[in-house]
Order: sequence, then C-alpha cells, then structure tokens
Amino acid sequence: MTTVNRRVLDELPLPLGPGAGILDVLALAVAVEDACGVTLPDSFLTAEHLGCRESIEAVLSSELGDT
Amino acid sequence: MCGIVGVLDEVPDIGLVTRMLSRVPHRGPDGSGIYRDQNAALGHARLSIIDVTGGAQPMSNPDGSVWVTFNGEIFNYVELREELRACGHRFQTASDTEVIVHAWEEWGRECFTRFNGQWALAIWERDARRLILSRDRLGVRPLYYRQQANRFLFASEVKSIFADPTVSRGFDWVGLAETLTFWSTIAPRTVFDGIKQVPPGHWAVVSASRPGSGTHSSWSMEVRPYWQPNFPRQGTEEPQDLEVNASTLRERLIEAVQLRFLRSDVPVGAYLSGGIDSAITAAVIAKYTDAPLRTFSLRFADFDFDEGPFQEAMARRLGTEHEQIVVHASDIGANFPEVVRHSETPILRAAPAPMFLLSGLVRDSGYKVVVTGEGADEVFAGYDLFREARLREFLARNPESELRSRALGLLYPWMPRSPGQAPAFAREFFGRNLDLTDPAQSHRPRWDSTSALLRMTVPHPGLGVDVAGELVRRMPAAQGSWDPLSRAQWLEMTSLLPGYILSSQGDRMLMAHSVEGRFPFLDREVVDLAGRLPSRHKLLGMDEKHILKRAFADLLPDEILSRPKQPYRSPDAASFFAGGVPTWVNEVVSTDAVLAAGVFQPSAVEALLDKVRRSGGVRMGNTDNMRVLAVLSTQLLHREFIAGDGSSPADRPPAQPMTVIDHVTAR
Repeated sequence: MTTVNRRVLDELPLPLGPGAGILDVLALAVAVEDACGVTLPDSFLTAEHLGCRESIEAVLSSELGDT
Repeated sequence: MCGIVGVLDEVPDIGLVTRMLSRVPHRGPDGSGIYRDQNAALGHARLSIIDVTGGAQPMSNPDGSVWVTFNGEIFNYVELREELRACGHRFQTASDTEVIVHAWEEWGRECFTRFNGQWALAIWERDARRLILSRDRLGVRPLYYRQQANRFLFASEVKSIFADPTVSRGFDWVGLAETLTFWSTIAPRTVFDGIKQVPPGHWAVVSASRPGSGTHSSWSMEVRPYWQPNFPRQGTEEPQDLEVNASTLRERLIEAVQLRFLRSDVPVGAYLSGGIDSAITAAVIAKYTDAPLRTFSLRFADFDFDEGPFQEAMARRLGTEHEQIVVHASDIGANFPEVVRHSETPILRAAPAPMFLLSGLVRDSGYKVVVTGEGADEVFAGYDLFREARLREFLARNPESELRSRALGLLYPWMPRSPGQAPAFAREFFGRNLDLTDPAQSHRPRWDSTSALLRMTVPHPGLGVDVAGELVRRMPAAQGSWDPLSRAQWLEMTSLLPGYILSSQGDRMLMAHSVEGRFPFLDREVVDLAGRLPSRHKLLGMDEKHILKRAFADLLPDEILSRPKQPYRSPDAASFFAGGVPTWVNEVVSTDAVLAAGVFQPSAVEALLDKVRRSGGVRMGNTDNMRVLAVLSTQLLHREFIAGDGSSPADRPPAQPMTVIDHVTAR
C-alpha cells in the first residue's frame, strides 16, 4: 500500500454504517477512485467491497497490485 | 474603501474629474480630493475606515513626486510600514495609503506581491509622467479604463468614465456573448465597447508615447500579471497529512479574520448567511477577539429561499446582536433598476438585489464594514459545480454503467426537481461532454445551458465568437499537469468569482450603500495554502469543503456543520411578474425599447413575456429564469448607460471635506 493510499484510507469516513444505501456506497467509490487514481469494476461497487478499510485494501490490492 | 477616478491628458479638465467623482458618491460619502498637474488628474471619494482623520487622498510622498489614489485595504500595512521604516522611510499618517506610496518607491512592482489585501489603485509618477494601475489578486475591487487618442481615463465604476461626453457608449458584443455564457465577462473585457478593466492579479503601466517631448500624441499601456491562481502538479502536493493541513488552515484563517476584523478604526460587523463559511468567520471573531459582534442576515418571505433558522441558531450560539431584513419578491422587482445601475452589467439572477437591500440594513444600523464568507466556495471547492464535475468524471470512467449513473442522485439534493428524481433526464444531461481530456469539462454543462440565451439575440458576429474556446486557450500551460478539480477552480476563479460574485453580488451591492466587504477566505496566505492542498482535502469524494469543516468543527453547531450545501438563491422571474408588474418592466421590454437596444429579437422577447405572464414567473425552469433576467437587465443597462449617459438623480457633488491640490492654476 502506497503512503498516499494509506493516507486516503485514513481520511475516508469508514466503516459505512449498517444502514448504508447504494448512494453511500457510490459516494465512497467516487472518493476512492478520485484519490487513489483507480477505476473500480462495477462488481466492486458494493457495501461488501467498500464498507470497511480492510475490504477496500483488498480491492486496491486486486486492482492496483497495491499491497 | 472608496472610489477612485483619473484622467491623463494635456492639462486635464478639473471639471471632468469632478463630474467623474460626482457619479460615485455612494463609494465615498466621507470626503473627497483631487490632485492635478499638467499631465494628470487623480480623484478620490473617501469612505473613511483607517486613520479617519489623517488618511485623505490623493496622497503623495514627501517631495510630491509620487501620488496615489486608492480604493481598498492593505491589511498587512502595519507590518509593511515597519519594514519600510527600517529602510529609512518616514511616515506622516497612520494610513495604509501612505504605505503604498513608500512601498512603490522602495520595491517598485514587487510591492504588489507583498500586499495582503483588496485594492484598486493608481500611482502617478509626476516626473516620469507614468501612471501605474494595480488590482488585487482575485478582483475584489473594480478598476476600469478607457484609452482614447489623447486621453486616458480610469475609474472604479464605468459610469464615471461615461461622465466624459467624448466617450462613445455602446455594447461590446463579445462581452455580451461572454456574459450570456459565463455569467460575466472575462477581464479585461467588459460589456461596454472600448471600456476595459485591469484584470485581477495584474498591474499596468500607462506612459506618454513620446516621453519628454512636452506634448502627448497618445498614451501607451502595458498590462502584466503579478499573481495568478496556481496549483501543483497532480501527485506532487505536499504536505499530504489532513490533520496537519487542517491545523495550518485554522491558524491562517484565524489570522485572516483577525486582520480584517481588528484593522479598522470604525466598528466591523459580520454577515451570517446560514451556511458554513460566514458561520466560521463569525465564530472566529467571537472566539478569538474581545470586541462585541453585530451580525446581519438576509431572510426571504418565501420559505423556499429562507435560511433564517440556521442564521438564528448561529447568532444565538455566538450571542451576537443580530439584525435581519426580510425580503419579498416584490422588493426585488422594485429595486432591480437601481441594482443594475450599480452592477453595470447584465445579471442572470436576481440574487444581487437582496444583497443590495442587506447592505442598506448594515448602513442604517450605523456600520460601514462587514466581514463575510465570500470566496470559500471557490477556494475550498464548495460549489455544486465541483461536485457535479467530480461525479461526471466518475461516470466518464465507465459511461455504459447503469450503476454509476445512479450516483447522480447525490447531486443537488436541495432542488425540487433534483437529478435523483428524474434519473433519465439527469443521465442524458450530465452524460454529455464526458471527455476527460477537455480542460473545461467541469464547466461545459453550465456554459451550454447558459449560452442557450444567445438563441434569443439578434445575429451579430461578436455574439458568434467561441468565447468558451477563447477562455480555454487562455488557461496556463501548466494546467495539463493539474488535477481536474484545480482546473475547475482556475476557471471559476477567473470567470464567475471576479465578474459576478465579487462584483455584481459583492462590491457593487455593498458599495451602493457605502459598505465595505472584507473577505478572510480571499486572504493571500489562505488562498496560497488552499492552492497547495491535495484536491481530496478540499473535495473528499462528494464532501465539499472537507478540510474547512474538519478545521472548525468545534466552532460550529451540528445543524450547520452537517447541513447539505445549499447555494444562495432568491426569487427570479417571480420578482417581476408574480404580483403587480413594476412600471419599469413594461417600459424596458416594449418593442421599441427592445429594437433600440438591438440585442434581443423582439419576437423572442414577446414569446418569453407571454410565457412568464401566464405563469407569473412562478416555478419556471432555470433557463427561462435566466432568459427573463438577461432581457430585463440588458434592457435596463441600455436605458441607463447607452441611451442614457450614465448620470443619475443620485449623483452628488464630491463629498466634503474636499481637498484640491492643483498645480496648474497654482503656476
């Protein structure tokens, strides 16, 4: 994980609350894509993938090889 | 804060300078002054705020070889004066004006980069017969000029230049095209043919084309930048730590507020709009100064526009003495001609009119300076336009994605017909122009929807100019390395901020009632810091002004901190057509008046009027509201400044006490 991406994840409002809807997920996806310079597959635009720091790290690892 | 005028000519006409001052009595009710020699005349209308007894202008250096007439404030004048004293300069007054004179002598053009303030000024070097003009970084204070064959005129407002009967009066058609695209012209252009403005962040030298010959065939002018909005190469922003940046921002902004609240010899009040920005400035004043605070708010009788509960919540929290004015739509209609006379440009929203009424409340309350939150939306990315651009980038990365388009529901939650409620329309509208290589990608939807107004105009080559393309070509070469938010901020800080927000809705509406606005978010240090931040600290995903909220969370109530951003809006077309139609409306939209102005097709105006009269202007769409405002304001502008000569029953002789230093008659 790059220093910048680690900082980005520190700054995100995580984890998503239990009542988070699709708009909350998409808002988070906008933030991750913009700050980390990544385009996420639609299949990752879910609370399961973006709901907490660990799951996002896994997504970035998968998409960017950012480990 | 004041009004300035001047004439370069062979023995300038002192009567002309006096008439120029008489056009702007609202800018300077506390005194006036004129300096004249064989080549130049400078005039000044004074609103006395700093060194009330000693700061009369025009002001000179000790030997009378350098003269200045100045509108605005140099907030760091105390520190600069100490520096200049250390260099051997001696001061006669406690004013910031005298600091300008000595700073120019000591540092030349470098002085402008040292100034932290808001200014429009003219410096006359008598022996070199050279005039220097300068305007603050972001265009808080206005400065217009006109070059003629043998005469050069400058002034705070165009109406002063039109006091010279030899100046022709007509529309600049490209200026109109810019206004009907960007909501404002792009400096140096104005909507008046032959009248230009010194661009924000620029200085100019005007000199005789045949120096030393004793006569002048013409005056030549060079305009140069001393500052421009700048942003780092994407990915190289330092420092990156949000907490460090938020802490630094807090320190800078507290200093900026203190400079603007405390450096005044008259009481300073504050606006409370109900939003975060003015809440922060007022809260900082309350917490970090000992002075009592009086706050002023604008309310609307129409609940859709009113932010009163938020304003009152903040005023209660701070314990301020709070004043408010309640504006009805009919008030806007009644005052709109005066608003346009002051704004001197077509305006596509009625929103400046309530600001005009608010400054009247301030003045009636005995105040002549207010601190406001203006500029925060541009500097810290608060506007919906920035959120919209960020979301359109998200769509552009996978335009076919149905899932991504659902994110449009995040936009404009305050609108009665928000994108989330009309997803098919939203997808079609916001899905246009998704080219991420377009430097103006952020602004295309706004420019496209606004320039629909040009379809109402008569055919004219100037109206067909690709003004958007021209603006994009003027973007700095480095913009290609900036992140998209920085490019959007540059466009906003170059167009709407100086041309509309700080002018039509800012300086002009404040100064119409002799009130000075001070804007901590446009402080030099704050703006430079904001420019260096990573874009995510300003706009984290879709969270606007993220760092600002972080830095001042402890000073704001939750109801304001967590409130979705709502732009300042007012009733538009309904202000003129919902009740009794003001007499002036029928006058300026008559077929004869429309033909005389020659801007809009009479048939198009008639069709628009039929529509708006049927509805009373209530619940009209965005474009139709803009059309109504464009027609009314342009027609008023023509009546006032082109058919008329810009004079007004409000014109007054220059205010007393008046000092005249005349080296022509003294010879």
